[in-house]
Amino acid sequence: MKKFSFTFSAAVLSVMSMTSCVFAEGSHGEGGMLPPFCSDLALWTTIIFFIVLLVLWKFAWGPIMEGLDKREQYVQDQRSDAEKANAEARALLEEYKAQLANAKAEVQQMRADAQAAAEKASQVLMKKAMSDIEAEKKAATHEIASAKVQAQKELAAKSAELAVELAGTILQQKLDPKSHQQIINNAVANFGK
Amino acid sequence: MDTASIAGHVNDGNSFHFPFHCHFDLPMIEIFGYQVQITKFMVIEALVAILMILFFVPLASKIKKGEPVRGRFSNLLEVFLLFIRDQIARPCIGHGADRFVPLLWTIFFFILGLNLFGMIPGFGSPTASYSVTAVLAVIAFLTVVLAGSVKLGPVKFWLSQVPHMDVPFGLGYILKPLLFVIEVFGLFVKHFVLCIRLFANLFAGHLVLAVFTSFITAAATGWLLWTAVTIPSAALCIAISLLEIFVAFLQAYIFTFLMSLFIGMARHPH
Repeated sequence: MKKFSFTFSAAVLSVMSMTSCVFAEGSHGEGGMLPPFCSDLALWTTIIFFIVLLVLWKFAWGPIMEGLDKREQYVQDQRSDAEKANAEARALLEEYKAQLANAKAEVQQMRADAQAAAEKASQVLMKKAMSDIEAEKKAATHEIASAKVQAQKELAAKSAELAVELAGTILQQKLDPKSHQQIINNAVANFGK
Repeated sequence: MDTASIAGHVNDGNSFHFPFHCHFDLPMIEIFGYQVQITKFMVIEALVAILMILFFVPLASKIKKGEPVRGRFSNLLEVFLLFIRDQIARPCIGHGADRFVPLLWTIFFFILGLNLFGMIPGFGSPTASYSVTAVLAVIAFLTVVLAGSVKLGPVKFWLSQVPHMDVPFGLGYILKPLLFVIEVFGLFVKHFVLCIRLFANLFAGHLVLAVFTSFITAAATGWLLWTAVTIPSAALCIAISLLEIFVAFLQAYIFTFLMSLFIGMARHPH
């Protein structure tokens, strides 16, 4: 606090006195802890500061501000473009995902339909085949039965014919046991034909 | 070596003393019939101004195109520029801050240059003189008053120094004039403190360096004492020099930051 008061008083007194910078020959400011306020230096500082401010404002700060703003604008534009592209890409991705999901569902539906159709077709074919088989079986059975009846009829007719022929033969010959056997054998052999 | 003599090495002078007995006397010139002694600090200020122009004008031509700059030094300068604009001016001043950014850049780099010149042997810090810091504080004060007056109008700016108060009827007529005086005085004091803070920090730092160095000459009575004193003195000088480099940046930042804050307060009083 004491130091501050001292500095404060010295500064105020110096400002009031407004002395110019006077130094002893060849000195570098010796003469007191705090030098007096130097109006020449203050004026010089003011001039130098405003010169540098004006020069830099014209040739440096203006172009730098302009360049920085331009760069910021460029970065912002790039960023918004990137964000836009990103949003578009996301939308496209979502769209493609939805399309893919639809396609998958469609494929699954098609597969299921195809499977159902194939199953139905196979069942129809199977049914038809079974009925065909059944019909053929029935026809064959009928044919066999007809053939059997025909055969029986033919057998009966042949038997009767043979019996008549045999009776005729017996009646015409005197039969010894040997001839008797011979006739039977012939009749059996003819029966096989 | 007395304190006044030590302070003489920190203060302004009409000559340069460099190591190895190099000595340059500065001339006295006549301007409009007025004798002006060119001083060490005047030369340093001119050098800082020239260096600023040499650094920033080429940098501006690189940045102007809007493309990123190349080179370590250019990038370093750009970091400072962007820091002052984005971290000091815009948050402290708010809307319309960019109008003040060139002034703040100039203030910051001018103070930084003046501070850092004190770290070069044979030179000195002009900011260790309140003749310099007072000018900078006056510039800050005028900027604040002008910024506030342009934004709010001169009358409203001065009236806005009194904060809004909800006081019973009649009491405001007594309190507000008192507060006006206090606040206006505070406005002056704030800028006066800007001047003193910068000056005191730089002056004290260089004074400490000069004192530690003076121990070496004071101890030159015998080799044993001289050796015993020189080594710690030199070590301390190195440590304080490093601190001074930090202080050079810190004080430039504080001055710029407070100036921005005061401009912001003047433009947006409540």
